[in-house]
Amino acid sequence: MSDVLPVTLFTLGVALLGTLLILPGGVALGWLLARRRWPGKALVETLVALPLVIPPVATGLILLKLFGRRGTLGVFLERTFGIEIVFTWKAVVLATAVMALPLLVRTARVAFEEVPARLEQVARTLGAGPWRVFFTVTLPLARRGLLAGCVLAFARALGEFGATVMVAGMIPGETITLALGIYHEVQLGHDGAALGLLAVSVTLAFGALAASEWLLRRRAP
Amino acid sequence: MKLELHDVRLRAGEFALEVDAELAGRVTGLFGASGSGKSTLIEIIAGLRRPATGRIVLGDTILTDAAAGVHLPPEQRQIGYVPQDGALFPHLNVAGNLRFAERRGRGAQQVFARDHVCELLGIGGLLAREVTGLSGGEQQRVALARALVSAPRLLLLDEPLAALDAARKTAILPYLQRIRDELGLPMLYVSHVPEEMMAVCDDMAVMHAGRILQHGAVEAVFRQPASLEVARIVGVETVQPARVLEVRDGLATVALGGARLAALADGLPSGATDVLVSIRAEDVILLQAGGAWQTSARNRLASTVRTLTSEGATVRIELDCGFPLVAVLTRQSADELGLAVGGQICALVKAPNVHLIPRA
Repeated sequence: MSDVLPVTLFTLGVALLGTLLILPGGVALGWLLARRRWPGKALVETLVALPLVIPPVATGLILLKLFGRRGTLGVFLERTFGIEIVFTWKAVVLATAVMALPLLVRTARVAFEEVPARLEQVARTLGAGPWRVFFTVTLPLARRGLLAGCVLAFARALGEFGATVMVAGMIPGETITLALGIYHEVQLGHDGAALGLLAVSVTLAFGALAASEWLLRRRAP
Repeated sequence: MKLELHDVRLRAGEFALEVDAELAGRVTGLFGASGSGKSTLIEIIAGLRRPATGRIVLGDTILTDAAAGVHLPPEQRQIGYVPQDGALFPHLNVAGNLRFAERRGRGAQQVFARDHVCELLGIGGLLAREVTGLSGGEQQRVALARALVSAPRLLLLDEPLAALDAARKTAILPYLQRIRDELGLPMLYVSHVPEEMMAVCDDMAVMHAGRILQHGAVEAVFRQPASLEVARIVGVETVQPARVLEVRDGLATVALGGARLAALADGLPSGATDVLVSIRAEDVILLQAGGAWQTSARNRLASTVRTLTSEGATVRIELDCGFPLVAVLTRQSADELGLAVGGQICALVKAPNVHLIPRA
């Protein structure tokens, strides 16, 4: 029923968008966790890690309650911007973004922790302000780890199912990704179509993980 | 240029730093064991750590004034900082590291041109190299050059030779001396090696447990430690309690163990009776016992050799001359004297080399 190509492109697009959405915030948060001490740090750390440890469906339910018609954020977004999230493609992006965030933040944090603080301090004494130090010393030295984190987040977003199905439903042509499509086709008894989607899905995930491995391994000179 | 540290305090767990000093020498050494607070003080001056209280003034620039909430960020201080490992940026090559530092804002008063600095430090041929491929000594020279081209008004060197082997150390010392002599840039030099202090510094401050115990000319501190603690830190070998018997014509006679020693009495408060005697091992001369030569040395002590310890090219000799005395000789001298444990020998110490430290 569902065409392989549109679903693949939709999945890629959604995963890319979800990753881009969390990129600035995730990198900033990773840096804050690695380099600064602040009140509430432990709480934020736990919140960000939550989607890793609770069932994806539970995360989806939380999102549904938050962004639904009667959810706090849902009402706010609807009234202020007239945006409806749940059961649209936007919900797919939201779900993949939330599920991918922990991986990005954790990898970014480790990447920043591995940059010697001494180099940043010396850069300051050489006349560079905090922003210049971040962009010319910290970021270049952490870049492989950050790239690997992006690839990991992207791969996670590609395969996301549980949270997506809760918050976006399974609407053909609207919210069906590769993962959702596989389930959908099997439900309908279209095993052949499901296997086709499976093959694409495995190929994409394999490629993303291989890229991540390669980037991580290249970090050690 | 004068660096004033007024009542600078910082507490970190068990460690407390408390410094009040004016450092005005060309090159001032900060001397002390690890954990004494030297590096912490350097980081405070560089602006990398914020003291709890105090004022730090360089020339006419207020760097830190805790009471007024002033804390100039490191990038505005124009203070070069070279840590032990050099801290070169591994993602840039040598030229890139120098360029990073050169991009300081206009209005910098003291600019050392890159070409001049490269020539001074002999790194002209390294510019295209990756920093990860440099030897330890080359890395330190590049780190020095990078700090110099950032137009510093003061250079902080935190054990810049500590990571190098003996040969590389010796090779880099002349470069430090050239910076000192040719650029006229004031420097603070952190080390725990007496020889580096003597080679590079004019003044030195001895640090222990977060405080400066003594501050003065390098020679003066080594020859006349102000206290037993300083004597131990700077490594004077013989430190013994003694009693002042007599002071006459600027010369003091002290009794320690069964021996009597003559020492210069300057710096000794009148009426002081209990003192510590410190004698640097290098200042002890040994003479074959029974020799009748006339010498100018005031102190001629009949001694017994207790131990002989070989230390590379030198021999460390512990003597008993009524009190324990340590001497250091070259191996050749020790051989020629035919020193043997239990043998008799005569120890000579000039009165000016016997330092009297009043006991608190």
